[in-house]
Amino acid sequence: MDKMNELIEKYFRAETSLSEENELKHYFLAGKVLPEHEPYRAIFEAFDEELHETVESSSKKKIQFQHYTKRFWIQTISISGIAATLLLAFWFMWSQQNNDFAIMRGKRINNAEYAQQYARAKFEKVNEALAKSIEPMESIKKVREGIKPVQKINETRELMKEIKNKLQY
Amino acid sequence: MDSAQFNNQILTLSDKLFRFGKSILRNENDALDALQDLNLKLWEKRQYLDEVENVPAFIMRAMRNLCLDMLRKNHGDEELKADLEYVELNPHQQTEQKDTVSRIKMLIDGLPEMQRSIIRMRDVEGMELSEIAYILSLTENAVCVNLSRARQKIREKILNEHKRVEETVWIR
Repeated sequence: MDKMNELIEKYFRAETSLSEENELKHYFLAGKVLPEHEPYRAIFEAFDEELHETVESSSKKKIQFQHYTKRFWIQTISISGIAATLLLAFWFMWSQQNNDFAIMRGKRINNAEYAQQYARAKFEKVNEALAKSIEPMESIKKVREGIKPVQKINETRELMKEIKNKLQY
Repeated sequence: MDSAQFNNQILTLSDKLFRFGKSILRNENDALDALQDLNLKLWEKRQYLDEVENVPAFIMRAMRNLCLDMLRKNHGDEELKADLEYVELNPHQQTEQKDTVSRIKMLIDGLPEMQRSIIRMRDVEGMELSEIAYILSLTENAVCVNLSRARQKIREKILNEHKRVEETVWIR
């Protein structure tokens, strides 16, 4: 035990040889460590663990990470795509539903057939009203046709004047 | 140096170089990039490698220079000041580093660049002091002093944390 204490002290003063340091490593990695040496065990465990770090293991970790990030992005993009498609479909359906309605006397009517009949009835009423308003116009036409001969009086008067003048000469 | 020799002498050092780069850069991905850059540069200048006496130490030195250049590009000279300690862990990081082994790694990462490189080269890679001195362009004595300081700092922090945990248990 004294030898080990001495070796540990030498180690921390950086006075140990490589073989003495190997002896310390074996002692701490073997598992049977005295309680007072316990805090130092992790130091040698850390060195041993670091010695097993290789390019291969690190590259694997890197590739795994890259795969993970790639998968993450693929998943994110796919989920976003599906969500966007669903949203578009819902929006389209909603807008389609919204187009098939009419407002009648302030009420929303979704029944297309009823709306068509209602519109047809309204158009017929408008048609009738128009026909009624055009009726007086027709009688004006008749009057205008009746007045036509009266419009020729001036022409006849002019003709008579000419004849009269000729007769005087 | 032909491709077979290159594979034998240089690519076999990949793991060691990766750990060394990671220790300096404190980032796995940056260390992988640095290693790739280094391999490319070494392959381009492979004919000169035959003239080098200690190829592994030379390559470790090249890796360090490359990593320091990367740090300078990203953080300026701030990171490289010898007496600069890395920022303390924030509470979030502390809760993340629950287990002691990870905590030790974080504590080492918190040391100044020179000290964390030395402690890892010695305690993880098991390198000779002379080799470390060559890679870092230091004297063996300077390596020893830095190694001792690094180990003492870790010890101090570990003992303080251990004491704090025991006190908390007693209060409860």
